[in-house]
Amino acid sequence: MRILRDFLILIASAALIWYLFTLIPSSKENTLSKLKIAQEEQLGDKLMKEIQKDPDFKLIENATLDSALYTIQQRLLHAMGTTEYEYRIYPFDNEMVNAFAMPGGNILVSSGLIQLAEKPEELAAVIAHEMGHVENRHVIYKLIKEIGLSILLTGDQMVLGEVSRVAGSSAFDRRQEAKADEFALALLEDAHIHPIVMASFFRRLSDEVGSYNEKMQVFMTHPHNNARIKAALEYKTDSSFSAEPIELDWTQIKMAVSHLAE
Amino acid sequence: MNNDVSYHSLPQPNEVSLREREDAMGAYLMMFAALAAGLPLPIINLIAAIVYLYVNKSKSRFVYYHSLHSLYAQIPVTLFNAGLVIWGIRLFFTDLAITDNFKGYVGVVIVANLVYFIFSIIAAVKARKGLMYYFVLFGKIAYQQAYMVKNEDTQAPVNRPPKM
Repeated sequence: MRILRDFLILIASAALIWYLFTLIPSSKENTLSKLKIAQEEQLGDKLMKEIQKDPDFKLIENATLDSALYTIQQRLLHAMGTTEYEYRIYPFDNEMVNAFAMPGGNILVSSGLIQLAEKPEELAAVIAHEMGHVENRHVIYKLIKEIGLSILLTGDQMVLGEVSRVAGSSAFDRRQEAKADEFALALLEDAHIHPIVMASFFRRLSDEVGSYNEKMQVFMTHPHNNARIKAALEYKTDSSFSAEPIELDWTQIKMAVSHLAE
Repeated sequence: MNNDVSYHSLPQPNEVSLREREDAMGAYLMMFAALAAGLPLPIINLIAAIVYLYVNKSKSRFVYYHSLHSLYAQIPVTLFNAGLVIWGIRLFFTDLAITDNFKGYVGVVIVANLVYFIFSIIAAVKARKGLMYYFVLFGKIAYQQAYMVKNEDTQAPVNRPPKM
């Protein structure tokens, strides 16, 4: 009997220790909770200034395109409801298929990606995915991990250059990508955009890899694209779901973008 | 515990020879070396512990008790460590998410190893002095196994012819 009692005591103490240790917040949460959204947005603004100096990220100023992106953004934000971030979508002139999120809700989309999208819904899917990274604070966490919080906040010019390079180049890990996809699929559904557009866009990207090759950048460098396509295809929309097309003249927008390239 | 179970009398410190004390102490200290060697594959130290037990089993009840005691105390620690290695490898190859459950588990493993380490040193010192030492649970099990009077102990062995 005593042996049984001792055994139970040991099991109970192990369980208690287990439980207590799960309560310790991870260093990631610690650093992130220290960094306020306002600070992140401040950093994001500085980085946007920095990144514009890079000829590869020359921002496009085009009224047609801006209003189109605004329409897409509003559709998504309306579906998202509340968010602490002030989103801004910047198109930049680069034939590579690329999209990435910078700290503070700034999302950059390349002209190459806009060209590849067959309809505005596909671009919305990409933007929704990037919003997923922002909302889950993946961007700022990646920077903290690779550069360090204290250095990040110095605002030094050299540092900013490095930060914008990291933000624009290195990929997220699989779990973060999956999380951003999950967020995007749900957001698309709420925005009355059929989540299947995500799969169709991914598939086109995969098919294009042969011809584009080096042009494929961050957005598709991460592995397991087939799994991601599958997840997007298998996403079950609510029975009451009805798709509403985004009213935009996509051909005209693509024309506007292609004129810039010439 | 049943009253009809009887136990061999415990040897007093002055009755335990130096050789026995050192062998008993070795049961604990030897586990440390094996635990360190077995770190990548935490099952190796269990094998070492079993070998040590069988080598020293016949020396005396005192040595047998301490070897068993050390072996039993090592089983949960080894299982915890093996679990951590497996979980860690799985995390590395699937996704790199450090969940709260994993953190908790790492905590349990660290505490278990620390407790095992500290109490094994205490036990080794006691054994060197010719003293008994009982861990929670494992002390009782090892004592029962080493000191309980079994039937075959009371009956003298008798040679019999084969049954024709």
